[in-house]
Amino acid sequence: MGLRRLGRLGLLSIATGLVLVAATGCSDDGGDDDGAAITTTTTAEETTTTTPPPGEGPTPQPTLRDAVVLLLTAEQDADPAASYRLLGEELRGVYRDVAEWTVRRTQLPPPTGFEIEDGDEEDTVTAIVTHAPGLDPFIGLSPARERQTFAGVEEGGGWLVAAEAEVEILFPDDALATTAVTDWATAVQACEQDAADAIQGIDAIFGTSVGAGELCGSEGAVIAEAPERLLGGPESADLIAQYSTDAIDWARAVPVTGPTSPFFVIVAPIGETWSVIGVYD
Amino acid sequence: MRTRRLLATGVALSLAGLGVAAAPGTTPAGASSHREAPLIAADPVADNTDVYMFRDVNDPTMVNVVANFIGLEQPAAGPNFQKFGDDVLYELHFDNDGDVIDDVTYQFRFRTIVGSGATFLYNTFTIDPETRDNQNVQQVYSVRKIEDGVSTVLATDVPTPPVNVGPRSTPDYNDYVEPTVADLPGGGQVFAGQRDDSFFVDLGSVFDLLGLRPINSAHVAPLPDAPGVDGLAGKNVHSIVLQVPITEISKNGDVPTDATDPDSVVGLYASSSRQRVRVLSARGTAPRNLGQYVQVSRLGIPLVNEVLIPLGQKDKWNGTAPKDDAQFFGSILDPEPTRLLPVVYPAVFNDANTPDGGAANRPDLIQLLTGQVIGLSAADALPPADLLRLNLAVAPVQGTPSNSMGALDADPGGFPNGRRLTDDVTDIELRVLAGELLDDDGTIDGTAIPYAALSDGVQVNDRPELAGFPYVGDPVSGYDQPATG
Repeated sequence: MGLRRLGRLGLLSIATGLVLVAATGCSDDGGDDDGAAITTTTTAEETTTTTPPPGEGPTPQPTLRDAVVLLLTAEQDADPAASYRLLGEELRGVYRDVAEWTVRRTQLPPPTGFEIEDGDEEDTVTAIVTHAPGLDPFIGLSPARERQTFAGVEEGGGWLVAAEAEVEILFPDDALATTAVTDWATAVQACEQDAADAIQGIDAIFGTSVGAGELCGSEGAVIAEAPERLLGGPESADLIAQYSTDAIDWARAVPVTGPTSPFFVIVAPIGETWSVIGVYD
Repeated sequence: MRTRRLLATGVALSLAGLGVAAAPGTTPAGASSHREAPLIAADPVADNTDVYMFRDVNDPTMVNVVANFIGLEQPAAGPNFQKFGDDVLYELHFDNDGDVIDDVTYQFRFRTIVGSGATFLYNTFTIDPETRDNQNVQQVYSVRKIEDGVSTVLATDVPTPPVNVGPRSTPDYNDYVEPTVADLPGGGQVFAGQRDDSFFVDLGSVFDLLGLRPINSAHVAPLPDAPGVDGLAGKNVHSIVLQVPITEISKNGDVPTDATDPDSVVGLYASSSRQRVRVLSARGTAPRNLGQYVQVSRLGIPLVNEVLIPLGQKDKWNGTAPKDDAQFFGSILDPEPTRLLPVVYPAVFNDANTPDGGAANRPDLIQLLTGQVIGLSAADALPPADLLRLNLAVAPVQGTPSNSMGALDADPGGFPNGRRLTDDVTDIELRVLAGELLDDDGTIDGTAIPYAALSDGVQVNDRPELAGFPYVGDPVSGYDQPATG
């Protein structure tokens, strides 16, 4: 590993290296598009569109619907290089190469399936997208189902996706939140922690509550009321720090009254029901 | 060797320029990357101060990575002691195929748990090392790995140890470490928490017009020669320490054995990111964070952003991925510290013995950025980028004060082949920037002065490192914080 007396080969490497970096910086295939495919449960309809070859620029499709089908299929396959080729110029301005697009993908729940909804508009497509439900501090909420609305743009003689999808979470019935909290509070009152844990969406729930803390071993009916929107006050500060302000949109607060001082239970829509993730007085 | 432009402007003018860049009291202090850029200096919990990567001497199948945050952390920081940011995404990015794009990424998110909001106390009595009983403010974290587009949560709710409060609260502090080391699926382990800052540098002198106390008398504003003073002595950081099997991060999933094979080299940088939008509340409640995560700090090779990237580019640098580093090569390959040497030490350096800037004149820096100084041939050079690169086929070498100069003393196990906690990167880079690698005889041309004389005079950390994982030394306690002034 001689460090001194750099010779002609060293100088040659300068040019080589600089060219390589310039190429990397401008690349639109990112070079990391050989990711292994994962098993998916797609509900995509049959399509006649052609999968874009790897390593190329935008591949406009005959319709926006075709572009969205290909994009979501690529997302299911954990293939951001393929989905990147369905992006229009404006979105490519935001994510300048596959690497940047890939980073953004890791901040979102990966689709496990999708179904395109019928629609009449040429430049807008909606799809019901499914995910493996969950809640973690890296992605936040992975809703079981959400409606994604894609705007399209005509470029290069075909259609591409113009912007990131607008997302509408498809929530479980609010009544199920009351049921979940009733079951959880009943388990806590019976000091059956395992049963309570089974209704929790995370191992260590957020917040503290005198009322909830005194519930174990108490006597008398526990009443969970209809869920309310979670407020943006101290009761949600830890939740926001962990899951971003998105938590205000998807979390609910269920008032609980009974043998102890009143308190609230925070629930999250994990899967097709609601799960307990926090308490506060 | 160098252009006359700087000298032609005259020493006084040049010093005026220096005043803008480094006048004491007008710019933030910095170390390896402590408070190195304007924006991140105001955001210490996201400020990545140092990153280290080295093969494990106790288990050569493992690689250790240390990423430090919260630079210049005062041990006596109660009642609200420092902690990781609950709203910060911390990441370690590995590139194993040389394209300067993530192949394996480890992410860390923290969460603070307050036992009781009805007291101001961090802890209510002596904290139990095993159960953390009496620790009112605790922090846990989760770890996620991303590879080939697939994310896997490796660990959740891993506890961090309490900060080192003092002998009443956290006696025998090392007892708090082992219970918070967590094994990872697939091998390896992880730790996160307060540690001593392993970095050592004469912060006070270096940023006082590039002063080196041992050669103070040669400075254009001379002072008596003096031993170096470790400006980070008695200061803590918060460390994320990850140990992973080499097979988890190497390109071919093996333990490489051919040091000349580019597949044996892995590149690393650490980063922190915040959500794009933060909305403050007028009612004293917590801020709201919105939008995707954007990078606010990064670090690979030590001191690059600190002393090579100009002030006007530093924040941009922190927000840029290494794949886009080409835009900064003008600054890196024409290092400002090199240009300042003849100004600050005119009795030693002049335009004849100071390297010119530019790619053609600094092949040594190109070699540093392309992996050629860690075993690769010119033909196999990797794209230049600010990645801390480690040749996984090179056997680990225990870092000690006696081999702290790493590759400059022909030690293949030290910086820039990765970076050990004991490597004296300040002196190494100072000598390299001055042109030692371009010279043949080890002395500054036209003088009898060896490049080794270029030193801040601090060659060892003030506190010992640990012999085993997590390796970084125990933090200074608040009670024992050295008096200042």
